[in-house]
Amino acid sequence: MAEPATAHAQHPHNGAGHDHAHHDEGFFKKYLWSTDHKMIAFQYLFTGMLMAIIGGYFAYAFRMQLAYPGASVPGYGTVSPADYLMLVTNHGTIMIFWVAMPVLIAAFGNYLIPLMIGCDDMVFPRLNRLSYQIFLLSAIILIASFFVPNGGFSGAWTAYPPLSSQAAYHLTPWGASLWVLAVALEFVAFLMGGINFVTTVMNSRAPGMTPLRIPMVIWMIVIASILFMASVGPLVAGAVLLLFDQVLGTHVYDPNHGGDPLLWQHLFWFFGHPEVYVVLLPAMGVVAEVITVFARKKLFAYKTVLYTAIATGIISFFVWAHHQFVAGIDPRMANIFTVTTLIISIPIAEMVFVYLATLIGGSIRFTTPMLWALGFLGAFLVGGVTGIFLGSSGSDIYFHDTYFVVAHFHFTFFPIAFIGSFAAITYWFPKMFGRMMNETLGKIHFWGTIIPVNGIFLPLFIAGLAGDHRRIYSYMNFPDSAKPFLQDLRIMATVSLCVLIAFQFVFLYNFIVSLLRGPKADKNPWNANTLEWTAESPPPHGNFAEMPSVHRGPYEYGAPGRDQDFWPQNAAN
Amino acid sequence: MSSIPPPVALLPVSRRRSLLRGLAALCWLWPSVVLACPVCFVAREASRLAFLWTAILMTFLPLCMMAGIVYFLWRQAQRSARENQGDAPPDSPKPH
Amino acid sequence: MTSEMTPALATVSGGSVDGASTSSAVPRRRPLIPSGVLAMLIFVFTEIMFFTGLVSAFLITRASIGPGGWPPPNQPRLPVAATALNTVALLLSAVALFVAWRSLRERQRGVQAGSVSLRLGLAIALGAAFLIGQGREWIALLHEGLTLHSSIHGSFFYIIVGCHGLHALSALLALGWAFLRLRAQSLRSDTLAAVSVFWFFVVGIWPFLYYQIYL
Repeated sequence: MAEPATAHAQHPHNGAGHDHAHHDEGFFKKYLWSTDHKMIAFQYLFTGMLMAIIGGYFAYAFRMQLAYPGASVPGYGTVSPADYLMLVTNHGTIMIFWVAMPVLIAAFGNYLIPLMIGCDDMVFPRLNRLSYQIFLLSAIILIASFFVPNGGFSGAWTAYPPLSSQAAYHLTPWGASLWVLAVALEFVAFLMGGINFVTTVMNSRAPGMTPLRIPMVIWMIVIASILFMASVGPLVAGAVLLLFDQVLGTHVYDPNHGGDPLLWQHLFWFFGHPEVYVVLLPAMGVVAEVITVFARKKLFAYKTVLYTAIATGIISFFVWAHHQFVAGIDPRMANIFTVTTLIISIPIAEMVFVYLATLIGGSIRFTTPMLWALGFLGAFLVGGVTGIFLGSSGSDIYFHDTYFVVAHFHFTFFPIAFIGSFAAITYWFPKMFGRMMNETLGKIHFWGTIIPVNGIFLPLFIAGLAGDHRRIYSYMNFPDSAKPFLQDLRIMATVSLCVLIAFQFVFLYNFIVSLLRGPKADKNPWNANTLEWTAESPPPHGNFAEMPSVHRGPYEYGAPGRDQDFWPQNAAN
Repeated sequence: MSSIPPPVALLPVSRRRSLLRGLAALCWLWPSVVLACPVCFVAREASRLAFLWTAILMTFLPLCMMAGIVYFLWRQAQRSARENQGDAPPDSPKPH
Repeated sequence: MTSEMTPALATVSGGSVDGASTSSAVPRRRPLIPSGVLAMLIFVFTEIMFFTGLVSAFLITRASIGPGGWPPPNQPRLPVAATALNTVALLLSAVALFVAWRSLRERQRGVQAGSVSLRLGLAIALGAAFLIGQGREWIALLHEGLTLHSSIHGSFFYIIVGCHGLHALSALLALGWAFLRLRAQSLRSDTLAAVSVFWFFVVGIWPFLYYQIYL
């Protein structure tokens, strides 16, 4: 199994597209045209962070409009109804497809997979580079779509036809088509990345890295990649049909000409729900790594977590129609999907229980990454529990399209995309950049994020229970929704959002200053076991001075009869 | 062990009858009978069945394909393990 | 894919420890599946799901139209017989490709085998015949009045069959590239296997599409 890795080590100068030991390359070759998996990971990471800023800015603009309707938003101007729809649509699109996916899967998958399984690069380095380039192109197309005549696409991130398929409704033919094109290209990019991940983990592991010695985060990324690749096909098919409707004037989704708008939901949600688990599983994996290291304890049940993750992947194919309970699907189908939706909470709960059991009796160190990991468990729990109400086809009829839904999925996606990413960034920062982050600033940032998040979305649960519909430009036009009590909740959410955004500057400051002037990190600052901590910080091209071989599982902390409480995977004894 | 009666038989006859009545009521409530689909463009049974069957197809096809690849790899792993031991020719049938 | 593989993989440990210097002495093990083939399998896997999505859309749309409405009464019929002939050509090309791959593998193992380039060339020619046949059929249908806009039947026909045609075209280009590599004596059987997997996908999915769309 180790053949590709050793083969590369043997011929460091003629591997496909490898340029090991050529450190005097120009800026372009080194940072923009690199085939090194670490550089591609940084490209994904920084692109994702940039897109997060855009997505956050959009959220700020439309939340200000909701709290203070019609007022001029500082830094944006007046939000018109068309602007509002564009902002909401692209906030969702950006945060899911251009922030959660690239940061959690692409960036950390690229960075961690070769380092953690002990090889020098991905199996297909040039495919990897192409993957980022297509991703960058998709991001550029998406941003360009904001500046075409009539502005960006405004048919919600789910792009339901006929709103998305006919220019008479969405009013921006260019924006809509560019949006579909950008999303489709982005999927092509992640398809390439996913193929690379699975193949690398299959064929390039270090000697001794048996399947049950692979760190949990790698397993999670692999399972997520397989899920993604299995579910994305029908969505791309749907997107092709949508593009034909938009550009070439076919009537696949047009009920007036024999088409069926429900068809799009059928194809979209087949991908859309596995997508949740595609981003959730890597975050769960990151949490497993962080919790074991900072509880100084073996993962409570490695095999259980692994099998649970596989079960989650399988069940996630059976739940997607719960998004369409009120769309007019067959009630028999709704019955089935209610049951399966409630079933999928079992494996997820099981994972959370395993993590809690890992914490029991551990000597816990409350470092910044650990705080993020614990925050993830707490916040995600709220999101998971509220999902039960939406998964039951009866109660969903009431909750559907209210702010309850918005609060629910933000309580799942925010922990995944942001808390999970912050845990990963603060944990692997010393390895990625060779410097330590500031712990005090990190903790300030943690508390300054976790409290406002609850301040944003807990009021929205109440607003949703009171019946606030989620796609309203100004509630002042509706007497029932314009009550002062509800408006106060909206203002509270918006103020919390502003606080949240303000504290992200602490993170950016900490990130940049630590990157440039932080104290030097040694090879293994957290005393962790996994292979990436045996490489230099930051690892050079080719990662390891000598290719490691693996002797034990990744979570041997506190083994009896040893001087140290950790036992690196590659230590002979 | 095998003589444990089914739970329904444990009940007195009158209760059993009411239970059956309850089940019948549940069957009557089976939602396709009270199908109310205000937004269905096509309320034809064929259309709804097409949604159902394609949902089943799309759900199980990837799982079957994954299972196929995993089974193939598992067999390859077994074969290469046997080759490594050197006690069996590569194309001999599996021992179990 | 998990614990079952453990015995096979456990034998690797203690193998190559210090990569570069002594790795020639380390017993090399073939991976369970060549990386190129695995990557192509995963890609094909996604592609099958793509076509499943398209066919699902087609089936739902067809089922939504009342009895007697499908295929649309005033639209030209699809040429069932001519396409059956094309289908046979396509299936034969897969057989030719399989034989070509096997003889390439035999030859690389040092066993005497027949001409690879003849068989590969035959596979490419039959594939090209399929594509040309499909193209002629399209032109005829367009003249008879079945267009992308004429009905939803036409839309689906051109989108699904067109997507398949594009895949066939790109797979043919890949086969052509493999043919050039073969003439340059630099084609490995693993590479040909990876390309073949894609061509087998193009061939294998066609009978299903033919059955659903033409019959």
